[in-house]
Order: sequence, then C-alpha cells, then structure tokens
Amino acid sequence: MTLLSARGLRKAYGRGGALVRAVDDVSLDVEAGETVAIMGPSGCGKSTLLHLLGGLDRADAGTVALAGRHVGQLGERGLARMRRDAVGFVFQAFHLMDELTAVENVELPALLAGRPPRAARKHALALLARIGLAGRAKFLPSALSGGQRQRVAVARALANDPLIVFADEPAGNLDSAATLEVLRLFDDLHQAGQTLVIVTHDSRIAATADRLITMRDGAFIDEIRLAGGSNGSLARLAGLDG
Amino acid sequence: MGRLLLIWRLALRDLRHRPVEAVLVVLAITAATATLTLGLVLRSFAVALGLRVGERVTLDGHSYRVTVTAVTAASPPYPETGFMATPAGVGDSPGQVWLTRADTISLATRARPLTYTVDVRTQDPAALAGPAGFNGPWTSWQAISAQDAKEISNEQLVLDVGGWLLGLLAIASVGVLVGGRLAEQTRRVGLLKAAGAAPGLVAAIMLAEYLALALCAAVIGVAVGRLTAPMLTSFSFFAGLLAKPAQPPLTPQTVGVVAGVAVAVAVVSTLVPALRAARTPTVRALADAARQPKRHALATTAWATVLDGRYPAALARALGTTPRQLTAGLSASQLLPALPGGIIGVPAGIGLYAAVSNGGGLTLPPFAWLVAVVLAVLLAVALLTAIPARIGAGHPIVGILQSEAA
Repeated sequence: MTLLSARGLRKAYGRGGALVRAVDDVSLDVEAGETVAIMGPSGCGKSTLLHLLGGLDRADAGTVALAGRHVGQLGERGLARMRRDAVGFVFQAFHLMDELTAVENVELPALLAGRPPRAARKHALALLARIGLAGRAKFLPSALSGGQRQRVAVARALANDPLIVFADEPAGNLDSAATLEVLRLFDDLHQAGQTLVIVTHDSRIAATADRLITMRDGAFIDEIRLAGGSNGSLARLAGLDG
Repeated sequence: MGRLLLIWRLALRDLRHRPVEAVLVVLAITAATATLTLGLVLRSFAVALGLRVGERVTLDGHSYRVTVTAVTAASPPYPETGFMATPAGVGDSPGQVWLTRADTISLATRARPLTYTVDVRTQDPAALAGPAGFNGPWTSWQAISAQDAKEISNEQLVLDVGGWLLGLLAIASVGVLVGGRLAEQTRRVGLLKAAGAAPGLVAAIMLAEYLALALCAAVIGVAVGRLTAPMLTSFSFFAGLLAKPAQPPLTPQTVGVVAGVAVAVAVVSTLVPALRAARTPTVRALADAARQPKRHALATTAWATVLDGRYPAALARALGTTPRQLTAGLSASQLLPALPGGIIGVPAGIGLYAAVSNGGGLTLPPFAWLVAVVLAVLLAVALLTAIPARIGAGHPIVGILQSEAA
C-alpha cells in the first residue's frame, strides 16, 4: 500500500541568474513499512525534498499525498495537525528543547496533541526505555551525549505513533560510536515496520534501507533496491559488528 | 489539560533559562503599572467626592441626604490646584457641596460664620491695607500664589517620579531590544572583525546606531513636551484672577538635559551587549547563523520575547502546534512574569504617591480600579505578544530551524 506519494515536485530559491532549483520535477512513492534512503552531495536538494514531503515547506509545483490526503490543499492548521499526528521528524541538529528534560522532550508532541499528561508521560517513558535511555529520563539535553540526544529526538518523533518518520542527516553531527547507536535504533524501527524516509550522507545508514535513491541537482538520478532491507543484518552491512 | 501543562512548563523553564530577561520584563511591567497607579491615585479624589443621590453625607456633624449632583466650572477640579480663602484653608483639598439655604444657615456658628468668597483685582493693590479694608477673611494674591505654587510643587514631584519610572521602563525595553538585536548581528560583527576592525571599533559601530536613535528620540521628546506642557499647567490657576500663567520656558538647559537622558538610556542599555558582541571570537561570529528577525520600531519586551522565541516556536510548529495554539502559548507565557510585576506595581505606585505628597491626604482608588489596572496591563502584554506571534506563525518553519542550527 502506497503511504506517501509525490508527483512533479518543484522548489526553487532566488530569482534570475541566482535562481537555484533545489527540487526539480521529483516524483516518489513510499510503501507502508518501507525504508527509503536518499543520498547525494551537499546542496543537491535532499533536505528540501524532505521538508516538502513532511509538510515543513510548500512546493512551488507538484503534489504530495500522505495516506491519500493531499498535503498541498491543507491550510496552516491542517499542516500542523498532520505534522503532529501523522509525521515524525528527526533533525541533524537534534532540535531538542534545551530547557526540558529528556522525558519532557519526548512527551511534548503527545501533550501538543492533547493527550492526558499521565498517559503522555507513560508513553514517553516507554519510548525512552525502548531506545535504552530510561535512566536518562530526567536529564537535560546538555547532560546527554550527541548520540543520546539524537535517540531522544527519535523517541520524540515516535511519540504520536506517526505513519511516517522523516530523518534529515540523523548522524550528521555524531561521532562513530554515536552513529552506531542511531544506526541500531533506525534498524530496530525498520524491523518493527515503521515507515522511514532518511536523508543521509552515511552509507552505513543507507544500507539499512529497502531502497536507495541518489539525488543530484534537485533530481533523482539513480534508484536501487537493497538486498539487506528489513531482513538484513545491520551490523554486517555497516561493517561494525566486530 | 496536557496543552495547558505544556504551556506553563515551557513558560516556567524559559524564565529559568533566561533570568535576566525575566527580571527586565518584571521591571518594565512594574514601572508601567506603578505609573498607571500613580495616575489613578491622582484622579481618584474627584471620584471619591462623587456621592450618589440618596446617600448621606456628614458636614460639620450634620447629616444630609444627597438629593442632586451638579457640575460647576467655578472651581477647578482636583487635582488641579485652586484656592478658596476661608479659615479652613480648603485650598489643599478642594471640593464643593451644594446645600439648601436652610441647611447652609444651620451650619454657621459664631466661630465660623457664613462667608462669601470674592476674587478682587484692584487698580491700586497698595491702597489695600489688609483685613481692615474688608469685613471678613482676607487673603492677598501673594498668599494665593504661594498656595498654588505649593500645589504645583506636589504635582511636579509626582510627574518627576512618573518620569523616572518611565525612564526605567525605557532602559529595560531598550535593553531587551538592543540585546536581542546585537545577538542577531553576530555574523556582521564577525565580518567586521575579519575585515580588520578592532573590538573597540566594532562596539562603537554598534553604539552609534543607538546613539543616533536616542538623539532622534530626544528631538521628538522635546517637541512633544513643549506642546503638552501648557496642558498640564493651564488648569492650575484661577483663570481670570491674575491672568494665565506664562508658557513654560524651553531653555537650552532643558534641551540639554533631555538629550543627555536619551543618550544615557541608549548607552546604558547598549554598552554591555555591544561589548559582548565585540568580544565574540571572529571565527565563531562568522559561523553564527545570519538570523533575520526584523525588529519593528515599536518593539517592546513582548515583541522581543516573541522574536527571541522564533526557534522554539518553529520547533513547536514542526511538531504540530497550530498557529492559534502557538499564539496562545506565547501570550500565556508572558503573563507569568507580567503578573508579579503588575501586582507589585500597584502598591509601588500608591507608596510613591504617599512619599511625594508631603503628608497630604491620600485617597485610594476603588479596589476594582486597581484590579482593573493589573488586568489591563496583563491584557496589553498578552496582546503585544499575540500580534507578532500570530504574524511569526506564518513564516516558513524550515528557514528558522536551519538558520538556528547553522
């Protein structure tokens, strides 16, 4: 079943000679439970595409449909509801609230969605336990390592059980050890059937996907199905099992 | 319930995260509320006399029922000064009560007979020898003038205190505004330093912008003051008794003081953030995000707070907060520091008036008025926050998140 469908997406910045076509006539289908990795050089439009797909930004042309609903037709409130209920985001820079503890960051989307505080807290603690950070629930982000922060950000993205999670360079700010932590986490999500679209420079993370798309100058130039996919062994693919 | 918890949690944590700004906000709100309260105290006496028909009033031990209220232009209303030459010396707290002829006569005693007050301007003041020329209390124009001068002096003290409070408000507001703006200009600082500008020069560049603004503000302030001063003084004398007072003079000293205060406000509120920006390492400054909030000329602490909160607001939107929720949340978060400021400001205003009134009678405004002042201040803060928050909620999320993360 196709969960996410994009057709003829275009997004440009600047005017005249300074015009940059960040996304140029891109079409994409993502099946439910599938993990899609998008790779490409810096500035090729990967992040912009992710923002368009996730409703963080609006396309100049083209359509995006999530679970059959056209994103472009949604108003600001509708987009907000979609981001809150149907979509989870993981950013390269974590974007955690500095003044909130780990568990408070994780439960934030649930509280925004109007869930009772007690239920939101219970779910957030369960998510933290799932990512191995139950013991860090009361820690502020400043007291966590980079990898732990990104795992908290992933837990937050899962707080409302989204249909799809978009990750923008999730390991871009992490060292090797922290990257491995995040890598394992994404592989767990993949195994659990979570639909994922990951923009990354890291081939190890891309190796966990079912499909790898290469992008250049705002357009898809290559697409391959990976043998590993949801049944693959992360450690073996990433070469980090030793 | 969950959203409410989130709003207050974020508000409290943000206060803890940025205590200096919180103090500035409290200071600004306190000054505003105290100034408003001061004004209310000044006005309340007139209302205190506004008895309703049917109520009873006691005059010199006699109880009378109020049958009608009236308005007269024969005497200036409180707090504008006036003078009535009676033995009781009611010039300090003027007010008028109309009685029937019978009731008036019943009030007269041998010690305090009924009198009429007549303002007389003679062709030859020197010919008047004093009370001997009249059958009753007699007061010279010099005494009236001295009494009025005393009243004017009290008013001036109140205005002075109000002026200082507004000055504090200006420093707090400009401090928040400038601090935020200079933080936005970190990249500019980096470029200047990379081009060879010394920290002192960078700080001077930062200061210059606000000194120019301060001088503009001084010019406007002098012009406004010049136009409004007659309105404050023209009611303070019995018109027609001894002619109207002269137009308040605008001396070079006055202009110098106003300009000096404006420049001082700019320097005090700009110096620290300017020096801090100038000391930022060049590489770090260059790497800093080129943020783009455009601060409006009418920026206040509330506007500054919203602009400084662009990143968490964008993040909240990315997580699904609607523009309405965001606006409500930001407005509510500003009420927390505003509330103690508002509450402190009321007794502060009353206390200041008591301190400057030279032991004169202090009539408190009705409690409901004081509550209304606090509520009005809170409403103003909420509105001032809501407007830019609502506008900001329409800006692209991605740009804000990327600029902050860069």
